[in-house]
This record gives sequence, structure tokens and C-alpha cells, in this order.
Amino acid sequence: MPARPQGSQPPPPQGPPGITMLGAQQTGKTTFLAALQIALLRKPDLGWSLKGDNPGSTQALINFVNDMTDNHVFPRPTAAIENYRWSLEGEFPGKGPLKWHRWWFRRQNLLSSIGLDLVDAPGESADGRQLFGRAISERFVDNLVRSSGIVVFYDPVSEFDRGDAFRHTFGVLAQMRSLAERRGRLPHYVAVCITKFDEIRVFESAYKLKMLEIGPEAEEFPQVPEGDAEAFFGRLVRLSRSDNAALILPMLHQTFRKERVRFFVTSAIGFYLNPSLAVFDPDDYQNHIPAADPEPARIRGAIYPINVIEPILWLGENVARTARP
Amino acid sequence: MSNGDVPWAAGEQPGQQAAATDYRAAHAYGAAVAPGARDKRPADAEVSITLTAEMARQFAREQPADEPGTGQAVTAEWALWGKQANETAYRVLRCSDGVFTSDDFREVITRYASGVKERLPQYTVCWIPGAQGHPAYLGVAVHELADPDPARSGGRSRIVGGREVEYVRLFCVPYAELAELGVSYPDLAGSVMEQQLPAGETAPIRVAVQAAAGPHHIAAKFRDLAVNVAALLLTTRPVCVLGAERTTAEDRLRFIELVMSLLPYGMRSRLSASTWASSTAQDLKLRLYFANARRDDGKISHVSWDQPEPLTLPGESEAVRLYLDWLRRTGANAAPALAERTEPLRFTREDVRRLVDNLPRDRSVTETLEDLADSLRKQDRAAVTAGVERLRRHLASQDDRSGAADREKCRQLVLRHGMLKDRPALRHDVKARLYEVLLKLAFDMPLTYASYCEIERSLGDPPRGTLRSVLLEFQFSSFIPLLLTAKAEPSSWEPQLVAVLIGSGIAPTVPIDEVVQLADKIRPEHRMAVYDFAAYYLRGAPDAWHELKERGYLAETLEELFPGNLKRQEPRLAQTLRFVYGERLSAGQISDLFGDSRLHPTMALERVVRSMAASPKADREIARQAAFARISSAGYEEDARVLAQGTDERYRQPLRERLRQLPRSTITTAVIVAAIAAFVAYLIITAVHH
Repeated sequence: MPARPQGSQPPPPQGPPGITMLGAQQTGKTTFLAALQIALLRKPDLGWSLKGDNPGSTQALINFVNDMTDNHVFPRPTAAIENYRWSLEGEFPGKGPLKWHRWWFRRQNLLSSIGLDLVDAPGESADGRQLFGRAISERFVDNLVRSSGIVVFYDPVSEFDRGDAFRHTFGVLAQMRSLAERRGRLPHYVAVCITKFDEIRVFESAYKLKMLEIGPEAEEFPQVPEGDAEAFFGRLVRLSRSDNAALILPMLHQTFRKERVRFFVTSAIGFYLNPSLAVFDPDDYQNHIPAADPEPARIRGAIYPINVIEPILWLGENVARTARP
Repeated sequence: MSNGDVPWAAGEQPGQQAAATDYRAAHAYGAAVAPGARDKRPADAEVSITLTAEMARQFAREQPADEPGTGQAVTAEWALWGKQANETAYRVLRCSDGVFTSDDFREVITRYASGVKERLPQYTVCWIPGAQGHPAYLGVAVHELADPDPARSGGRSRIVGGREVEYVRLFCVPYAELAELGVSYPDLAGSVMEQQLPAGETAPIRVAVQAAAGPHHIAAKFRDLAVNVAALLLTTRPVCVLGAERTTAEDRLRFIELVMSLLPYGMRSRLSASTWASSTAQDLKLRLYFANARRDDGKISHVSWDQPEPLTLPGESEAVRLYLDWLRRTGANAAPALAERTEPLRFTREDVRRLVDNLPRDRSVTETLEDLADSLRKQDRAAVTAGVERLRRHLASQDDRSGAADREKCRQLVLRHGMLKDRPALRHDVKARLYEVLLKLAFDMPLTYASYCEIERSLGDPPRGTLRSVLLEFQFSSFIPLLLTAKAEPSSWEPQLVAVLIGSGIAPTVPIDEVVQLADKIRPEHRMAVYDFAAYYLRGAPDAWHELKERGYLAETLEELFPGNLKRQEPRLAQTLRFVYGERLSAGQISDLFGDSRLHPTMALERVVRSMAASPKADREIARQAAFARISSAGYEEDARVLAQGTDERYRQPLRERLRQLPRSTITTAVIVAAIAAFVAYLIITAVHH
């Protein structure tokens, strides 16, 4: 074949260590990121807001929100490694340092900012069986090695149909370990997100396993408590089409420090909420309208993301702490 | 009006149903210009005429058998990237089995991935260097959704796994083949556009390169921006164009071509560019691309599509500044000269310095024309082909500011050197390109009658063969040059030309009015053909009788076209009068005819009326009426009327004399009728008596 263009060895990624999304294709990585802004707007009490740190990232943020809220469509699949630089900014009254004020000390407002350097790659680039593209795969692994946080996406629906989650994590993690400079487990913080909680099969599994509780929101959305998320993950991998899914959990524990791995049961679009009822309806909650050729899949109603901020916030705080000199 | 009202539509020309339908629109147009149309419509009417596709095909069939259409073609290896209906991962779905393997195609496609695109289709152009004895390649990738029409989708699914699939059709062509032909990116993309890459095929494809019709508005509007971008590319930093979201992907590709036309062709061997790239995509391997947001990594130059800004070059860019000066100084001549620099060049400081050291000598279009004339004289085919390509590139880079003076210079050269003459030594396609570029350089478009005359004068004959075919693909300002070109070779051209004029919305009266208006300006050798067709076309009007009468049966026009030439005038006038009145003219019709103030009673008309008169003895009466009509036509209408009355009274002839003037057939008929009447009367009387 003709030669590869010169300079094909990818230079190391620039910028601060970030958070990289890892998961097979169609596990909802991009939709998860796209829902981040909406999730923050749904929870103003948290005090965090999201802003783009460069024009491209800001534009992407705007496009994501427009697509999902106005057009009710999912973001387009990722075709190259995308790097979104966003910041979580928060203002917390009375949480700042003490300062002399008139005749007494008083706590100031705490202004906090967490930089999110988010890397989203096509799911194919993590596929251990079929090479997607040498340069893009190498670059992706490089991103993973350099990042401080990793979001691992596990889609129980795709896993039931395809059973490719192990294939999409094992090879990448093996390469990460081979590239790591230090011995032992990798120092990354890992948020394992069990996605598509709004899908009937996932929700019913949680219901049958008696792992549901009513969330604090006024809409009374059900959720899997964080404490049960790992157990839920353990039960779901048994339903995989592949026998290898059960190996994911031990593999994660072998690769990363156990205390740095947390599990979240998430849904980027959340449950459908009938506006006339304004509370969760267990008989009518599916928010995802499947595709009907030639129309792609759509979002039925308003978006109420579940556990989208939490993993990013947890990773963001830890990444920021790691990056601090 | 129904089609039946139009003789051609009614059956004179079978198979012209579509043209007849258009003809209704032509009459709407005719009605709009009807009042005073013959006065107001200029000879160089704004409504230009082009050949319909059917007529073009007809003329193509008329080409001599020894001039087959042998177009330029390149060999392309190809791959289709996407997803099958039951798959989730993108991969090479199928590919050719040439030099590139499936893995190679995968590497090329993923290497030049440009991220999420808000709209499709988009285009990416890229390079693949040669190695291990293989030549270097250029690639063009078409990013698209599958067509909703299954017949055009090439067996691809539009939706897979709930999402729209972005398919990529990649075509890789050896750089040397493209460089030899000087193929542009839009031409290459346009040439492969219909290649749907169906399953089961594995052979590399032969792609006929389709050249664009002419300069595009992008070339004129964005040249200054393109100059800036070309200079910025030479600083070796990638360039991102912002703010072009509303422009089509095809126009963005044309802009990429415009930029590259301002750099040596050899730099395409190292160019990767895309009509759209994600602003957040990491590690883009693109040197020139369009995006919707600025990158702040400081490694990319940004320019705005609609807001031209002064160019700011980094301090160490002396070579680039020199190049920029040369580019601006050379103007439209730069592109043709740069297109000849096909040796591969990289976007590096060394190569840019090398480029500036060896800038092409300014070669004007007139110098190139002189060279081409010389090559034609020497029958140097290679030099002719190179010269034609150079002129074509010059034409493509020409903007609207190119003045009439340049065109005049080119025209003088083309005509003086007889460059439009037939060149039997050249292939048909080379000749076609030669004539096309020469005509575009030398003449204003649409082509006028004056231009046609100059071409004919230069040739010494009407344009025939390839030149005629090329001319027929141009627009004409009026029907006269189109008619003369079409008629230059014997064939059944009239019905086709009628169809073209109808299709162009030309009312039946327009050609004849053009002839009436330009009668004295039409060259004598063209007059017969022009008049005959215009009259033929007018006779197709639903109210042709009225239109002919309005124009005095065209007697005056014929006198102007063929002054004193009765042999030319008489048969044409006779045809017109027969069309209006039939084979014979009665005394009443003759009287009506000469009594019409719009008539110009020429000698030819009088002779024709005399020959068509029902009574051969009416000569004197015809001469008398013609004489009065002439007086009337000369502006003495009242005098003529008085004179005619007086003459009637003074010259009332005796009964015997008037009876003598009766036609013999009338007398014979009268005698027979009288005899029969007498016989019947006799029978009745006999019966009563008995």
C-alpha cells in the first residue's frame, strides 16, 4: 500500500489532565455529556453551572442543548476524538474563608471552579477485536493514560443484545497498563455509569431486584441508590449476551484502586413526565422513541437527567485535587 | 390556445409535444412584448437562446463518424465506509481490490476524520504518499447520508441502531494522473458523485473527468480571501475558515479549489482539507477546513468568510510576503502558471523558500495565445493540449474585472492566427476544449451575430464539425447566429431549431422582426437562410395571416434584403401570398391587397400578384392598383384616393370592352348555364303546351 503520511505518530495530547469517556458504541457517551448542562439546570440547588472554556466547546454545549430540548433528537454519533473543555462553576454562600467585617469575622461566599477536560471518542476506537484506525486508537489510549478520571459506560440494553462491553474495555485497559509509568494499580478515578436507566428492561430489572427508591425531586422519579449501584451492576452483567461481562468488575478492580471506583445508575434523558400529571407515572415513563426508518430515534418529552452531574462532579473534584500542586 | 393552432405542434413535427407545451409560455412572453415589439425589441435581445438537451444530442449525433468523443478519464480505487443494517460499528463495507487493502482505506478514512458534522453532504480531500514502488495518491471523500430513494442508495440503510449513518465514499486517484490532466477538486468530486459503489463490484473504476462549465461566482467573489488563505497556508500553519455555515458544501469545496489554484499544483500532493470539521475534534489532520468556532490553541490561523480582514503574517514570513506580492502583482495570470507546477511540494519552510526562489515567470494570456498559435501551426499535440489547459485555468481564475480590452486583444489574436480553423490532426475532445476556451476568451457571451460573422470571416466558411458543435453549446443573443450555426452543416436542422426557439420562449414574430430590423445589416450571403427560417417560423403563429398582413406580406423586407433581385423576391412573396390567400387571387382580393395602407407595393409584389390573378386579363387593373398603392405608400394617400376615383369615372369602359375583359372560363360557364336554362325552359313550355 502507499505509505502513511509523515508525522503519523500522534503527539501527546496538550492541556490539563482530563476526564475520558470509555465505552462501546451506542452506550450513550455523547448523550450523557450533552445532558450535563440540562442536568445542572434541573438542579439549581446544587449551586453549579457549566460554561465552555473555548469557542468550540461553548458552541458544542449550545448545539447539544438545542438538539435535545428543541429538536428532541439525540446528538450525532462521535466520528473523531472530541475534546470538550468546560468548567463547572459554583458559588456557595457562607462557605468561603473568614474575613473581618465591621465588628466581627464573617464567612465569605465560596467561588469554586472545576475544569472539565472531557474526551469523547467513537466507541469503535476502544474495540479490541476490530481495529478502528491506528492513529485514532493510539490517541485514545494516550488520552486515557493522561487523564485523571475515566467514565466507563455500561449499557445493559446493548450488552443484552451484543455483549461487547468487555471487548471494549479489556484491550484498552491492558494497553493503558502497559503504557503506565508506575507499577501497581492505575491512579485514575473511575465512575462506572450504568446507562439507560429509563429503558423499560433496565428499570424493570431494578424494580424486580427491589433496588428502587423515590428520589428527592418533586417529580418523584425512582432511582437506584448509589450504595446499591455496584450490586445492581453485578446483577446486570449476568444478563449479558456474552459470558465475559462478568469479568468487567474484577478487571476494573485489578486495574484501578478500589476506593477510586464508584458506580452510578444513570439516564441522560430520564423518564418521560406527563406534563398534566407532573409526577412519575410507572405505567408511562419511556422517554425514548425508537427509530422508524427513515426517521432516527427521538426524545419524547422533557429531559430530566438522572445521575449525570454526580459522576462528573465527583470526578471533577478529584481531578482538580490531583492537578493541584 | 391549443396545440392544434400551431402547425408544427399539430403534426408537422412529430415528437415535439414538450416543445409545443412550452410554446404556450412563449406566447405569454410574446404577448408581453407584443405592443410595438418590432420597434422595442433590440437585436441583441436580453433573452438568450441555448440548445435544449434533445437538440444537443441531435447535433452530437451529427458529428462525423471519425470524431468520436474521447473524454479524459482517471483510474480510482474506492471504498465505502459505514454500517450494515445489523451492525453498530463503522467499518469499510466494501472496497476495490487494487493497490489499497481494506485496512489501508480504513486508515485513510479514520486519519482524516473531521468529527461531527451538523449537515451532510460534506467533502474531504486528502493525500496518500507513495511508497514501495506505488505512486502517491490523492483522495476525495464524500460524507453523506444514504439516499432515501432505494434506487439511489446503493443498498445502504439510512438508519442503523436508531441513528443516521454517515457514509463515506472514498476515491483515491494516482496523483500523477490528476496532475497531468490538471483536474480540480470540484471536478473530481463531481465526476465521482454518481458512483454509488454497489455490492459485488471490486474492480477499480475508470472515472470520466467532467470539467466545470466555466468560472464560478465563488472565484470572483472570494479571490481576495483565497489569496490571504493561500499565503497563510504557506506559513505552514493550518487555516480554519469561520462563518461559512450558510454556504453549500459544494461552494466551500470550490473555495478550497480557488485557494489551491493560487498555489503550485504540486502542493495538492500534501493537502488535506475538508468542507467541514468539528471545532472540538482533537488532533485534526486537516490543513484547511471550515468550522463554526475558533480554536484557541494558537496553532491555527483563522479567517472569516464574510468579513475580509487585513492579512497579518507572522514576523518570520518573509518568503510568504514575497509570494504574496508576486501573487497580487501577477493577478489572473498566476493560476495558469501555478497549475503547471505539478512536481510535489510540501507545506514546509524549505519548500516554500524553494517555491519563492523559482516563481513562474509572468506569462500573460496573450503570450499563451501566441504560443498556442505556434503549437497549432507546428501540429505539436502535446503543446496544444498544455496550452489549452493553461488557457482554461486562466479562464477559470478570471474574475468579472477582466476588461473588454483584454477580450479585444484575445479576439484579434485568435482571428489573426486563424486559431478557430479545423485541425484534423487533433483529437475531437482536444479540439472541443481548444475551441471552447478560445471562444470564451475572445468573444462576449452570449454570442452575437457580429461575433458569428467574425468567426465565419476568419474561417472563410461557416463553422463546421467540432467548432460548430462547440458553438451550439453556447448561448446566443438572438436567433440569427444560432440559425446560421445550426445550418452550417446540411441536416434536418429546421425542426430542431423551431423546438429550441419555442423552448426558449421566443414568440413566432420575434425572428422576423429581428430580420426586419437588421435587414440592411445582415450579410448578403446570410439573408436567404435567415429570411426563409424567420418566415417559416412566423407561419407557425396561430394568427399568421394577420401578422403577415401587418407586415405588408414582407414585401418591403424582401426588397431591402434582395434589392432589385426579383428572382429572390418573387418565389418568397408568392409563398407568402399563397399561404394567406390560396393559389389564385380574385379581383376583390387584389383590390383588398393593394388597398391596404401597410403594403409596400414593390415590383416583385406586382409581378407576383399578376401571376396569381385568377384572370389573366387583369394586368392593366393590377398595374393601375399597384400604381395607386405606390403613390399611397410614398405618403400621398389622399391624392391616391382622389386619383383612383377620378380614374374610375374617366376611364369607365364601354360594356363590350368590359365584357371582353371577362375571363374566358367565366364566359364559357355563362354560355353553358344559359344553354341549360334555355333547354329547361323549352322542356317546360313543351310540357305546358301538351
